[in-house]
Amino acid sequence: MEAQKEQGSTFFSATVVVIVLSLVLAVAFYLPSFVIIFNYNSFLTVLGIVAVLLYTNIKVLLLADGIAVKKQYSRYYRSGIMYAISTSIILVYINAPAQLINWDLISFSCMLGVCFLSILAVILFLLLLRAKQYLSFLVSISIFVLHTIAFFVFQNLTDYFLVYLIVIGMSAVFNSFKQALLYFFCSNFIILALFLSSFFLSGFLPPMGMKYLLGWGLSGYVSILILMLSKFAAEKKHLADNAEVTMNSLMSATPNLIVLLDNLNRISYISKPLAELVHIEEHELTIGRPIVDLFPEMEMKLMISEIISSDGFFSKTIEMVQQNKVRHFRVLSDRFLGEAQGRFIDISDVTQIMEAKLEAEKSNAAKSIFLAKMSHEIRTPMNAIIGMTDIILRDELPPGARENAMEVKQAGKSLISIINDILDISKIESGKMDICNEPYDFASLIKDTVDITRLKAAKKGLMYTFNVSSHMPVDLIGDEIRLRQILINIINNAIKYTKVGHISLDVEYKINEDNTLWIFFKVTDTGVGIKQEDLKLLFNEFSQLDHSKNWRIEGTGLGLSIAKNLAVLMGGDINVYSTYGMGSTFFIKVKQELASLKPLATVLEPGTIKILVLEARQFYRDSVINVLNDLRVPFVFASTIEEFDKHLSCDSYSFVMVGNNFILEAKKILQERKSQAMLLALNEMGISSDGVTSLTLPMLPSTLANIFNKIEEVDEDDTTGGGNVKFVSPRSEILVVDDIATNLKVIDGLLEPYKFQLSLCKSGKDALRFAKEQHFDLIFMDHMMPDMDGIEVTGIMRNMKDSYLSTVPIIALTANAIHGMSEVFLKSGFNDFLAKPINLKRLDDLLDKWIPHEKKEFVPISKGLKCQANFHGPRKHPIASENGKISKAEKQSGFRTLADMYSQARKCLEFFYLAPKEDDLLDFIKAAIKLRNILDYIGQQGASEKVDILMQYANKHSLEEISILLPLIRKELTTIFENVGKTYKFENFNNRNIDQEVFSTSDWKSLLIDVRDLLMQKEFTKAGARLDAVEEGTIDDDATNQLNNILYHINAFEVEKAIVLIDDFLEEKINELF
Amino acid sequence: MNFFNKKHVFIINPVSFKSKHDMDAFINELGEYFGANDSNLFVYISKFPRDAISAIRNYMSKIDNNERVAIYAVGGDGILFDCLNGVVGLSNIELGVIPYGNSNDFIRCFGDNALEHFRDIHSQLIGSNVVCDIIDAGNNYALNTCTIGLESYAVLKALDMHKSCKSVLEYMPKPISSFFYNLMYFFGGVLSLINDKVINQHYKVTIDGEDFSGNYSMINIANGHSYGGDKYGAVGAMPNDGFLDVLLFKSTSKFNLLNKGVEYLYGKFYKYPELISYHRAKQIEVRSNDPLLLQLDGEIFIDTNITFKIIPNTLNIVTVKNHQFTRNKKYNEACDSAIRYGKNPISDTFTT
Repeated sequence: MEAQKEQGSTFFSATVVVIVLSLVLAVAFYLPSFVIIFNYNSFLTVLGIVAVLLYTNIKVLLLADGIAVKKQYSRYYRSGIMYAISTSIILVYINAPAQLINWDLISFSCMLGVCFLSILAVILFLLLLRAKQYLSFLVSISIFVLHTIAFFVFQNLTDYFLVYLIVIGMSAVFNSFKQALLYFFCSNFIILALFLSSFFLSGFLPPMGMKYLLGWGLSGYVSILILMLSKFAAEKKHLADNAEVTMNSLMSATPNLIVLLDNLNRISYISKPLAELVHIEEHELTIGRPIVDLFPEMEMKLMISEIISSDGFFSKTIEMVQQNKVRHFRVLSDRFLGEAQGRFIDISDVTQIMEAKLEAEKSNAAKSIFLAKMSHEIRTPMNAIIGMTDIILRDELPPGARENAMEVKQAGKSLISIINDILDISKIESGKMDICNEPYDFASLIKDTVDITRLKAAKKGLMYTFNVSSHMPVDLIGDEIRLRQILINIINNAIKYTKVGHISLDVEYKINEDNTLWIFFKVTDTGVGIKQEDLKLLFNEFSQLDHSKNWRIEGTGLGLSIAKNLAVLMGGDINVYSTYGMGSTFFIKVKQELASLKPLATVLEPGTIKILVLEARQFYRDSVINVLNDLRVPFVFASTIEEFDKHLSCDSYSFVMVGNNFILEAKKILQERKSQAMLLALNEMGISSDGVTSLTLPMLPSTLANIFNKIEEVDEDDTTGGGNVKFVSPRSEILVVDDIATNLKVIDGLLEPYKFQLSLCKSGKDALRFAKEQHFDLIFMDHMMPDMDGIEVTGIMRNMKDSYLSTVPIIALTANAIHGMSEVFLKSGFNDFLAKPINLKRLDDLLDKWIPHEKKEFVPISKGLKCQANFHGPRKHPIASENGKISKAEKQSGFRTLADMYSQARKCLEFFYLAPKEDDLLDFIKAAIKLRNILDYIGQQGASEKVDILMQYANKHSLEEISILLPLIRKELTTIFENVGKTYKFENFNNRNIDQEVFSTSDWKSLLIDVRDLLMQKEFTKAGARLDAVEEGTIDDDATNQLNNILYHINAFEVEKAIVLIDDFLEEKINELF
Repeated sequence: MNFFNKKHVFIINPVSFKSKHDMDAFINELGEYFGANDSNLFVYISKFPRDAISAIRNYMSKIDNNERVAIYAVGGDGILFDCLNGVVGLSNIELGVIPYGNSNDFIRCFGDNALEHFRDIHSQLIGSNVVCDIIDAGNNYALNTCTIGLESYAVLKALDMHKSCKSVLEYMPKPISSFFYNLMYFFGGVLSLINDKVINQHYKVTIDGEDFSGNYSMINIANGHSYGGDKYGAVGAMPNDGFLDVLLFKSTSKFNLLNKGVEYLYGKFYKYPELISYHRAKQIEVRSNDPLLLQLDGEIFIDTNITFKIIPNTLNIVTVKNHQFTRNKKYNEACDSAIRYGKNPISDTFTT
């Protein structure tokens, strides 16, 4: 582009040269001789001028400097030809009449002629050179016109040259201000010299001599001007040519695909490889063509249009199919800087890079799929293990069994933790780990962290302290979950590598001006320490240092790496200082936003409290003193029981904090002294004994402040298996969809304390059917299911605009807990997401969030409903074990429903006695579906699959195959249902059905009173089941209608209406009796 | 007549107007027919060659597929070419031509007096449609004519000169600028004539499967009869006859080329059957080892092989005042002369 500009300037200068030369010729007509100093010395030009010399008597001094004579500039020969022709015409025209005609008469026509020919010459010159700078053309014309006017108006050479000087100066400005200044001063100097010389010479020379002298002077002046202009033009041309040669060389040699466009997006320069890419061998041929024309495909044309229409920088990777091969190109484009108009497009072939990237993405996708699958496959059984353990832990267990169950649960949690670590590191590696900043309570974070880690430390006999200023702000904004993960990782690591001694967690903070704060955590241990040479390896993935010494220690070696990466993502870092054999200190720094300055802990009336502390362990004693000092609570310290007794005898205290090993003595002394002080036992396990309130170590300022302020803390975390629930909701209908029977069983058990009316089903299709038939308050939907997955089912539900299903809360229940899945679920119409294995607290929170408030019956949290071993809520679908054997407990809860199923199954089996005909296929399929569902419900997976095969044949109208398979399957099904029938003694039930016993009035009375009682007890499902059990045919149509009406109101939870109807019905029947 | 039953898209080539004032006047006139915010009107001022293609595609992507749309190319053959390539393949499209260019060759297919009528906006808005064939030239489409060889080179040079001097010429009175415009084509022709490579290029030509390979100076493949201002090489071509008229001018001496080329340009090819062959075809393939300079409706392309196909009755062209495609006025004269020469029953060929 610079080259173009330079070239344009050259043309401009050359134009000036032509004009000036023409003028010089005109001026020379006055003079006996003149000088031409000519720079554009093409051979033909010289010939032309020589011809003029021969033809005329004009004296020409030809000074050619030869700057521009170079072969590669051959196109300038053409300009030379035109220039020579025009010059010759001018010379001939001017010179010939001068011999014969009075100059004054011809001067006007002469000038007009010069004017016309010069314009023509300039136009031709521009045309042939494809001049771009039209402004220079106009300037040149202006110069010439001004010259002509000046000559005729002033009739005075001096005045004329003054005007000329101005014009030259103006024209020169278009090229360079410095050059213009130079011309200006030079010309002024010359004119001054001329004036002075003419002044002095006029005294000595006759007028004619003076005129000649002046003429020579003027000629010299013009010559110098022309020389300077020529030189200037030549320099410009030289630069332009150099630039063009450089650009052409670059365009030929570069392996890149580059194109430079002018302001109309036509090609100015194109690199050879790009021309070859679009199958143009001679890339010069494309010069001047619209860039869009280079690309044949409409998509490419539109893409190029997009590039050239963009105002600023453009960057995009595009795909092109060439010779049946997909190639990738990265397109960069931007407008030229400065005054230059146009833009460049740089296209790089990134096929290899993209292929590598795609390959990497493919591998990454495969890895993600593997991780997802692994996560799913491991979480599914883990869900059963942990969930079932939770259910077991609710029951009263024999000694040792609870510990064993706890061990199972702990092992399960460890395994899940490992899976989570692997998933996390995978996220970090792929850059998909996001930090979700949300408001959180720092006190809660710390409490959770300490609670989770303290038991481990206590089990190992390690002392564990926590020190933080009570003034630390607690309302922070950050990623609480990830910060907790960092702390737990580091503290667990410290506990893991410390055999004896202590662990401490110290927290400091610094508030910044930008409403953020730095939090500095220091985790110190007295563990094995780290060698200096190993420190740099500490945060590497999968690294466990000093393997020979630590081989017994569990762990994947991912925890520290994850923690460090998370800290970095939070704008901080983790550093470590360690002395081998002595212990280590981890410094964690993270940046969090400040929501408010509310302090961590404040004692409302510290002056009214007085505390006596008895703790012999120095480490804990210091920690307690720190906390009490920080809370500004007055206290007295005793290190022995004697000192304790002495202090109690002297003074009264509101609280007495005693180390666990002094509890019995302290209690005794307090009783003896009849002290009103509240006894607080300091112990690591948080277990209170003998009615003494326990103060768990490490001691948290917030916990202590709450005790002093008499605020009861609510322990929301139930690590022992759960059983405490926030509410019960017998009126809530919940549907759980999961293709795995064990998972259904787990969630059935976990939801049991809530007393929901629970419906379970094993496929998306069934879920849709159930959901249409019944109104549910909440649906738990498994993600991965055969045939129709949870996302698909939810999509269908959400599209039922006129149904409650478009808005009913649906919670994704999945073991696929990899990155981004929660977003996927939310986008797919789910309202929330619950990962397997199911975390009880999370489950409780979700239920609290989504169960309609009006259907909740709240129970005090601290006295939450403790599940009884034999408690079973009103569930509809008990799950049978293999071979139809059903447990006693299940019998109690779902007897009626199972009886219904059994009855239905028998009816359906009737379709299986004879092979169906073509017309019967629809009924056969319906019966098969019912049977399959029943078999699924009672856990007969194998038989269910066989029925499924029959259904598939039925769908294909393959009657022959059905007739072959049917007897075998029928036999198996008959055996199964016979077993069920025997187990539950359904024979009588069914016999009654067969015998068609007629309902008596007393039966009616008994039934209706039973139902009424059940309704009063809020046992809606049982009441419904009781009514359902009345067999068709045993009662008349009117009674059937009335029963259906009652049943309808029971299902709609319109209990009062149902009771009114029962009462009416009962009255009617009693009246019948009398 | 109600013209609000379709959308009207005016694609304007600003350089076709003598001044911005003229263009503004044209746009203001449009505004008088449509309300200020009428969604049926869309005016787009083309910024650079082929800009119209993406503008049309972008516009069409934003409207309902069932909408009827009339796209008017306001300017010369260049903007018409761009608009044609923008609309090909789209449904419910009519292509209008509002001629403000130098030569407006395609409009000459409606007769010599059609130019002014086609500039009348109201007539355009209420105009009817005529169906027109288009030339499928591989990656591009043309309405009027395709030339290869000398003529293309001449157009290339003339365009170069025209581009160089456009800003000067646009300040000149129309007769003078037209004079210079023609002068540039003349210079372009002269430059082509002296370029041996151009006038002796070897082409592998297949016309409807028949081989006509050889050295040719020029090849003219025409859908319309007029081109290059006042020239009408394929005098019998009609844009709606379902055929392409093909003229192959064999390589010959410069003098012969100069002498007979002028008559060739004015439809008198029948005088030199040994030098110029005439064909009517549906598909023509042209291959060359050297770069093949191709002119499509006045636009230059470079390729090494190209296949031309006629796509009959493809495009609805908006016509005004019931103008229909008409034969070139010299057509009858050419037929008579051909018969007189008796060497080539050209009238039979023309009227196929």
